[in-house]
Amino acid sequence: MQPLLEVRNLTKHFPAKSGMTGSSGNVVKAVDGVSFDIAQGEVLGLVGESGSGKSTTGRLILRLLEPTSGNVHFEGKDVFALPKHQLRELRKEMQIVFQDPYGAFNPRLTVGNIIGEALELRGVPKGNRASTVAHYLEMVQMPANVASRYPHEFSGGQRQRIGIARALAVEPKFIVADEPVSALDVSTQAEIVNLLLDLQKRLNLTMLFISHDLSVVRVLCDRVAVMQHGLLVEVADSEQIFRAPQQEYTRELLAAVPIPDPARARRKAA
Amino acid sequence: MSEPLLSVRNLETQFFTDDGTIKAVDNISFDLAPREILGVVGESGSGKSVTSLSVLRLVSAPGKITNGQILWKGRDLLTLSEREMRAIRGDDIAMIFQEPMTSLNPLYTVGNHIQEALLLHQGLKGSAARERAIAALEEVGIRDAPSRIDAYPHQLSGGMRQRVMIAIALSCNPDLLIADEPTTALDVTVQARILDLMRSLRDEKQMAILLITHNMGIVAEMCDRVAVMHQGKIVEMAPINEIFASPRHPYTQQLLKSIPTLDSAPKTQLATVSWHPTPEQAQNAQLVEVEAGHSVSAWAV
Repeated sequence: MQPLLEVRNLTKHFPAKSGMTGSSGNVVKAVDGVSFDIAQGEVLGLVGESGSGKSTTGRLILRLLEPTSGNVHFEGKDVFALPKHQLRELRKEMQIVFQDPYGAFNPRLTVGNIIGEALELRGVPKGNRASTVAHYLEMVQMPANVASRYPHEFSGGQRQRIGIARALAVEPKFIVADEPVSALDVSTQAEIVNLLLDLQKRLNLTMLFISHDLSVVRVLCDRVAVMQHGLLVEVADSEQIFRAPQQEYTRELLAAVPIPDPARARRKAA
Repeated sequence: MSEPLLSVRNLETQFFTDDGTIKAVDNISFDLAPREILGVVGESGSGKSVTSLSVLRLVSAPGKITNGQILWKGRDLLTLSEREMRAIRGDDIAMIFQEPMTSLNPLYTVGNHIQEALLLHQGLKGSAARERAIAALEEVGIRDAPSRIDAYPHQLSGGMRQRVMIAIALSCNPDLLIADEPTTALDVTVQARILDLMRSLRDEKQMAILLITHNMGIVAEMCDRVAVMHQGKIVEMAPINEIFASPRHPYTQQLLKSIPTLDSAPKTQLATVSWHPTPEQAQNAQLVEVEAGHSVSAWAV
């Protein structure tokens, strides 16, 4: 079966700025020849430390950034070959959920309008919008009456629910979730992880889940890709990554995670 | 038990806003022994950061300490003049924050920062101060310290900046380090190295640490004891093995269960935290000792 998403030799070099003039001729190889597939209904975790290139990879796939080279095929379509005016079509199929959805919302729009914009993209008639907005709010376990309120009135966890509702309202086939629970408190994080698990199962969503938190990746992902310095170090089933990592760097990452169990903690002095 | 280094008694810190008064810290008491690492855990808004700022009297308006005592080696810090308090800060008690970049002045080199602390607190100047600053940087594992000392904050990585903050904090040999989410902004591998560093410095310098964090993994690996905060109150306090093995308070129990770990069951819903005090529970929230060193809100006994 053909994968939903095929990434081949994806590369993004940024010009390196140094000195007063800002041009040195050097490049930063943010993503340096990355290849992987994601099957329909699969959740692939993309993990690595800051600067590893994981977020850049997510943005390239959605063509929020133009690549230096390489390609991405979505349902067989060459994403980078699409003319700019067809990107709107692409946005209906691929959506993104950010770490801090607040930065991604227009503060002057009500929640109803924020989700309504997504519905407009999908061509939902105006008359049906209010009820459809309510439907998506219900999906993220929020009451319909929040539609008339503004993003600043909500807590981080609630905003993340709204961000997820907006992404889902387009009925995408694929979602890039970029650190969606990293900024949340422990208890809120658990709720959003549960919501993502539930929605993924119910809607058979395909997801690229970008995170530096390996424990959350353990709960959510079927497969895991480990990135370092713009390169994929290891890609394997979740079980393999967590039980029998093959690469030294993967082992190093796992070993660095503090274990919430004093009986097994490594750092404990005698 | 030895005399506590720090003894916080019935501390209450309130914020007076246009929308009303908020008790950010609501009648909390705890002791910290020499070279002890006490973890303070809780979610945002639980009062853990305000507690640490209160100890150093760094709460600024509209916040105010409205009751209690902060006994440092027996002396109540709340009765000191601002001038006397300045001598305590840095010299006796030092503090590091989550985001070192905002605590470092971008126009000063690493060396300027450390030498300023040395001048203020120990009267060290010139080449003596510079040598001492280089030694401080080496102590926190900064390689090539003689040249790094002239670097500006923006030329350093996040992990390096936090090491510099620790070097500044330790340059005057404090007896207590207050660390407020010191590794939250850092990558896991860098975090592991900073935690190792803090632990070894505690062992070498016999320094106590008040470690504010929301990460129970860090608590398990670093702390001797832990205080769990919820809505400005300490709801449970216990030695580290106790709190993980037999938490008594429903909030602690739920918090511990909700944390995903590397051993979490894949594709399985996490437990959530739903506990909120009933009015009766809120009335009966004073800590009661249930076992040696293990206290919990009275209603939960």
